[in-house]
Amino acid sequence: MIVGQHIPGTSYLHRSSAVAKIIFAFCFIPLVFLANNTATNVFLLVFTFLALASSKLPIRYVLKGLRPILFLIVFTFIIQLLFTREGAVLIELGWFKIYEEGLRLAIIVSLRFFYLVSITTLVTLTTSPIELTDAIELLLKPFKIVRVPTHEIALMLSISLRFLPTLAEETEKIMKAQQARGVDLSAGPIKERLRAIIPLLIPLFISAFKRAEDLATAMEARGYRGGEGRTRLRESKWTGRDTGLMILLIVIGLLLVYLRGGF
Amino acid sequence: MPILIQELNYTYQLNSPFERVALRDVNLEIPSGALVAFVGHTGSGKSTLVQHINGLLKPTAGKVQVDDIIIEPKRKQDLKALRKRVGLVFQYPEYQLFEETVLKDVMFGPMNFGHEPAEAERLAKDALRTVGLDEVFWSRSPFDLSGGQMRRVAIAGVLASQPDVLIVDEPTAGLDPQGRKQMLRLFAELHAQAGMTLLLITHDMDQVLEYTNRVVVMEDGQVAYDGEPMGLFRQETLLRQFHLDLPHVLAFAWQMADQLKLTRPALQTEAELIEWILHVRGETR
Repeated sequence: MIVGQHIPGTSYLHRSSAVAKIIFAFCFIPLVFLANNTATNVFLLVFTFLALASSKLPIRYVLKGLRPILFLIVFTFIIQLLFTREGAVLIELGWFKIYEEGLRLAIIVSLRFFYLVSITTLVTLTTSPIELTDAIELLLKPFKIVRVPTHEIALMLSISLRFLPTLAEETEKIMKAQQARGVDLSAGPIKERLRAIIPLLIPLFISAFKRAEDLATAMEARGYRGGEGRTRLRESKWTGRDTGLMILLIVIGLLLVYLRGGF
Repeated sequence: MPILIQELNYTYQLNSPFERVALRDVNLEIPSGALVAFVGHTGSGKSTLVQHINGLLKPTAGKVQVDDIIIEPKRKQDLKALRKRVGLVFQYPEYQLFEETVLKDVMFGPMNFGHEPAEAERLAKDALRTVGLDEVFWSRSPFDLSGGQMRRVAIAGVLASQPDVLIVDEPTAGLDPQGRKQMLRLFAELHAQAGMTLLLITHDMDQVLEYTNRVVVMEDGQVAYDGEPMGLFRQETLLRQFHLDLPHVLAFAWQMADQLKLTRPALQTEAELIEWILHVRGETR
């Protein structure tokens, strides 16, 4: 799974502000639903691949990262194929019939999945976790009026993102230590395998709680007292690149409407 | 159990943008019953190397052979049999404790390797005695112990399976000087009495000098030096290149020897240093 990973780079997307990228991804979601015929889908497919290419990330790696979603895509594909009963019958095997409309919908829905996951993965791959949480805090600001603790939410997010790799490392370390003591995590009946998780979970929880305590102490020792009046090291600035992304969004929307022949 | 490592290569996260070569063409031969120190700065590949010896990592290319068990990239092997015979104590091993009582935790290894509960308990008690943990602690929760005691329990947890080869990854990290000495003496005894093959990863050159007669220096995933510790310490350019320090005993003795225009002595322990100083004083009077 590579959603949530970050690969540093210098492409257009890498240097755009996180705020613009999040807005782009959010607005792109409803736009995807405008694609309903061959022309619009070819257009979005080309756009998605161009976007992937423009990020200058190793494309095979990105596509490999989509593999976990493949199951979901195949699943929806089959559901659409089996349960849509409109249009001409394409294949008939006894009670089993595949309709033209079913095939069409199945392809469109799978493609939609592909666009959405590719574009959102692209956002997280090209944005560092810190930029991402800063942007979320900024975008949540309007909710402060109704007393949503935006700073705290952002802080929680950035702490979890920061400690994900640490926890993963820790898990691996404990797993290896217990494997060295003869735990077999990959074989045996399910009951045995579940039991093998206990020696993994307990040390992991203990060290996570310890870490949390240490972190809280360290933050307090350095005078942390919430978001009030706090300035930041990296002020994200809206640049021409970001305006460019917004214009691109509008152009995509207009083109989609044009290609499908109106609303 | 002899260990043979041939043309061993290992790459972390192969075929991803995070790919990192950790070991390049490592060749090593460790005879049964040897005591070998592994040194090198952080990220030089020593931990990666030793994890291959009990099958926790599989080579990207090359071969690791422990006695008659061969580990190769595409070969299936009974790793449990290997792990029973090769014990590995990780850095800060106290993080692996999880059971309700100390004794149960130490029994965990032997039980996994197929010993009956009664036999496992006997092995666990032996191991706890070996590491010198008092009997009053055996029925306590491992989380109520001090850091040093927890480490002893964790080490006992590996010893209890009675491995033929013991790998210890910086066993003295985070201990006070007293604890360090006791810990090292424990391993030296295990090596001397039980004839255990001991691979010791360390940053402490004094330990290398005092306890071993073979040291392997890892640098950038390769074996950069393999031989007698004294041979390494005598080559100042090598030491500087590997960012290694002289052991305190040698640093003191050699500086003194240089000032008195004597030949630099080959010493291993503080006791020998004291003897040498007394000897020099007797001569210069």
